[in-house]
Amino acid sequence: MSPGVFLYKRLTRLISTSVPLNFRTSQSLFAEPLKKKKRIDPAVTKAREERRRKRIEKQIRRLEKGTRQLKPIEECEIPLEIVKNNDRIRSRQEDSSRVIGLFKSWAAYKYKQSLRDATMVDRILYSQQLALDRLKMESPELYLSAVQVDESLLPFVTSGPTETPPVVGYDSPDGEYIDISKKWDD
Amino acid sequence: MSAVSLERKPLITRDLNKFELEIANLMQKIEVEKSHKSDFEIRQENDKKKAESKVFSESDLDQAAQQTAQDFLDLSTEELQHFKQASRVGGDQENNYRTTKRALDRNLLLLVSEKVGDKEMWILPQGKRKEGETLRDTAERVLKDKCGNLLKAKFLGNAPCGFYKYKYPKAKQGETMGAKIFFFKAQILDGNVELNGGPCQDFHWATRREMEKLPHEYLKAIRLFLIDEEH
Repeated sequence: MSPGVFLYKRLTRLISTSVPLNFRTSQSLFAEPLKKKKRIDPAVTKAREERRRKRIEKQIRRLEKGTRQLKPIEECEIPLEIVKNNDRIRSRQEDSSRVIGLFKSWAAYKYKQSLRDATMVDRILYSQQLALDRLKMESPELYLSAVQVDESLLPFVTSGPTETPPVVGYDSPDGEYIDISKKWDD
Repeated sequence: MSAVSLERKPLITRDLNKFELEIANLMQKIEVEKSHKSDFEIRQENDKKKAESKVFSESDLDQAAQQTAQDFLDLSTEELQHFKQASRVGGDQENNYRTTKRALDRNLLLLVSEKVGDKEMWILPQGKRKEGETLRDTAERVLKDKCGNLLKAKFLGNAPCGFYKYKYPKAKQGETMGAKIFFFKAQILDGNVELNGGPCQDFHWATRREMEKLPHEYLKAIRLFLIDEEH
């Protein structure tokens, strides 16, 4: 007996393939088997699409309506009574040539006035610039302190002039304050 | 040197001149013509119509007890007459140069009479700068020293608004030839000048037309930074 035959015999004794060992190889698939495609009626899909579009359109319309509707300001609205009736309108004369002439000379008057004001502002600015220039020549330190912003003047508040001077010691009567403005939801 | 140009701004509006008045009346007329009749005017008209149609029915007699538009107008006019407005002219104060309650529609500038060299002169309150002061500090100190503590003023900024320089007379010229004055603008808030034995002899709240008291060249330098009045 050759050694090769001996080895074979030993191997067959150890591993038996004829006996069922429940050891089987199966096909590898790497995916789920495909489901059977359901058939949908094209009319149904069409209706579904339509419904979705309508819903979105409705939402858009609602949004647009919301932006158009503003909170009414009653003080700025003309009362219906005035719009409807004409009996409140006064008779009005046409502008005579005298009135037109007056307006023309008024325009000329205001023009001259504004020109005068502009020259006045120029003159005042010139005076200040002259003073600052002279100060710079005199002492740079003083100049630097002069060009600082005066914070106490900001914000600038001023009042008057009025038509008549204030009445000294006038006790202004307190009016009653009733808030009648309507409440509006946001 | 710093000087203060202390002003009292106009408290009331200026009178309109003849042309402005004409235009104002015209605009008023046009505005009334363009306007709609008010509820009160409608009421007045209705009352008038009712009075003209002399047919009185029972219901009219009941309503006669109610207040008519004319009654309402009379009542309102009476109420208005009870309210007394302050006068636009200062009355007897008008010629008192030392009060700020005169010429209410004008700008008033504070002038002081002071000895400069050996001459008495009308000038703006001024003084020499001390070491370590800014010019604005000097201006504020000068105003306090010369016009007392009762005067409250608001200074308009750190920068000088005007400049003037003059030479001392020959006899006085020593190390320095003359003086340079930097003007600062201020507005009076409250109070008035108190002299009580200070360096100033007299003071004057001057309208633009009364400024001729100042030396000619000095006045020219001041006019450069003052706001004009129209009439």
